[in-house]
Amino acid sequence: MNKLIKFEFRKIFQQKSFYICMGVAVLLTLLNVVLMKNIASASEEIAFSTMSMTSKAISGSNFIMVMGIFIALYACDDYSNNTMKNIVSKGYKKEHIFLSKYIVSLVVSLVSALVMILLTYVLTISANTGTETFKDILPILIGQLFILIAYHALYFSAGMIIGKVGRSVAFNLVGPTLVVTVLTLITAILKIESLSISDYWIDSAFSNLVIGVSNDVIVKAIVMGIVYSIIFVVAGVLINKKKEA
Amino acid sequence: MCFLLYYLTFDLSNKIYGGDKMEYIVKTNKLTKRFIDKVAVNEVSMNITQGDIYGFIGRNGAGKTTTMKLLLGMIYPTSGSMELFGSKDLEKQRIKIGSLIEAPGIYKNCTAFENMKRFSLISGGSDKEITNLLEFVGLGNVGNKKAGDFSLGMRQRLGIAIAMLGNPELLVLDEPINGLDPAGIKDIRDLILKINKERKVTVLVSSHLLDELSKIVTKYGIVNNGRLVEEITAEELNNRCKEYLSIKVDNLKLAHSLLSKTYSNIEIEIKGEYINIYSHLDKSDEMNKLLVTNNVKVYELAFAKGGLEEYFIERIG
Repeated sequence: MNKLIKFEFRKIFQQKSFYICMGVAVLLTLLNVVLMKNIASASEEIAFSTMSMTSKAISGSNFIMVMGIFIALYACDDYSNNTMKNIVSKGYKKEHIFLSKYIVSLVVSLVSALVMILLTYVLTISANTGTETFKDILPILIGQLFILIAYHALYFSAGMIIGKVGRSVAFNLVGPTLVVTVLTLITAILKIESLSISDYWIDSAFSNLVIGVSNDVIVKAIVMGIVYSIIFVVAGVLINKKKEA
Repeated sequence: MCFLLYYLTFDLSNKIYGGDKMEYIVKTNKLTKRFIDKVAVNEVSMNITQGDIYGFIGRNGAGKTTTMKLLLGMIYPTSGSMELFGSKDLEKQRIKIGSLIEAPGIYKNCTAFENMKRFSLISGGSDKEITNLLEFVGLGNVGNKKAGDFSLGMRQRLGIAIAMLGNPELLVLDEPINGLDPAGIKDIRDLILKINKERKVTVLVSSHLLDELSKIVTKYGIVNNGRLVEEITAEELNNRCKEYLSIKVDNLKLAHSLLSKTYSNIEIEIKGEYINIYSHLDKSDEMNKLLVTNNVKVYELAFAKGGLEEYFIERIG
C-alpha cells in the first residue's frame, strides 16, 4: 500500500484542480473576513472577534463546498482517465486502492482545513475585539474536524462509486443539503415533536458547533463524525470492490 | 543406471521447459463469467506457453476482452479457476503482467514521461528505464507534448510502454491495432515482435485483423459465443489450411459437370468466377486437358492455400 500512497501523493500534488480549489478557498476566506468586518462595523449587535471568526473558519465559510468539488475531481480522476484498470491489473486489491486514495485525500483535506483556520486567525488578529481565548474554541474546532472527516468520507465514497466527475460534483454540492430536507420532511410527516431527525445528520451537527455550545453537543458531533465516517468508508469499499475497473 | 538416466532426462526436460509448473504462463480451467443477461465467457480452458505470441481471435462480443479482464483481475469469474506463472496466488503474480485493455489508460494532461513516472511508482522502473522504454516504443522525442495531444498510434505506443514498465513476463494486448492506419499497424506489429524476440516477453494479443495477426502469432485461441472453440499452433494451422486448385473458365456449369462426371468423389465447388477443387490435386494437368478438349476456355489454373480467415470462418460457422 506504500507504493499506492506514494503514487497518489504524486498525482494529487500535480493536479491543477488541487491548486485551483485551494486558491478559491483562500479567496473565499479573505472575502468572508472582509465581509464580516464590514457588517460588524455597520452594526453594533454583531461582534467581530478573532476567536468567533476562527471558530467559523470551516463551518461558516464555503470551504466544505470547495472540498466537495475537489474530492469529486480527485476521486474520479482515475475513472475519467481510464487509468484505474492499469492499477488493478498490476495485482493491487481494490480495497487497497480505495483506502490509499482515501488516506491521501483525507490528509490533504485536513491540512487544507488547518491552513484555512490559521489564515482566518492571522487575518483577524489585528482587529480582535473579543474576550475569548483559543482554549475556548479548541473543542469546537476538534468537533468540526471530526464532522469534516465525515463529509470527506461521504464525498470521497460517492466520487469513487459514481466515477463520473460531473455527477459526483453535483452529488457533493446538493446531496448533504438534500438529506436535511428529506429528514425534516420525514419529521414533519411523522409529526415527531420531541425529536428532529435532521439533528442527527452531519449538516446540523456542523452548524451547531458555535462558541458557547455545551460539551454534550461537541461530544455528539465527534461521535457522529466517527460513526458516519465508518459507515461511508465501509459502504464505499464494499460497493467499489464490486465495480469493474 | 536406469534411475540415473531417468534423472538426467527429467532434469534436462525441466531445464528446457522450466518444469511442468512453469511451462504454462497462463492456464485456465473452465473459466466462466456470467452477466445478468448473458454468459460472456463459457468454461474457457486456455493454455499459454512461455515465449508464445498467442493470438486471441473471435467476433465482436465473443468474449475476448472479458477473458482478458478476468486474467487481469479487473472482473471476477463466476466459476472456474486459473493459474498464472504456475501459481494460484493471482494477485502476487499479476505484477509480472503488463496490459493494454481497450483504449490506453493515460493521464491526458501529463507528458509521456510523467505518465510513465507515475506508473513506475506502482509497477517499478527507474528514470533511465523510462527513457529507454520511451525510446524503444518510438516516443523518445515527444518532449513536453501532453499525452492528450498525441495521435491514436502514439497513445497506443505509450500504452504499450506503460504496460512494459517493471519488465513484465507477459504482455496482454487487447485490439492494439484497432483504428490505426497501415503504417501504425505495421509499427505496432513490429513492436510486438521486437518485445517478444528481444525482451523474451510472452504476448497475448487479440485482434479482428486476422491477416495482420497471422504475421506474428505462434499460437491461436479461437473464441465464439464465449467458448474457446480451438487452440492451435501457427504451424498446425498452416498444415491444416487446405491446398486447392483454383480454375477460372468461361463456362462454369459445363466445367463443373465435366469434372464431377470424370472424377469420382471429387471435392469441388463454384466460388465466384472460379471453380475450386480440393481433391485429386495431382491430376491438374489431366483436368486442364479435359476442359480444353471439351471446348471450355481455361483462363487461369493455379494452386492456392486457405488462410487464417477461411479457417476461422470454417471453425466458428
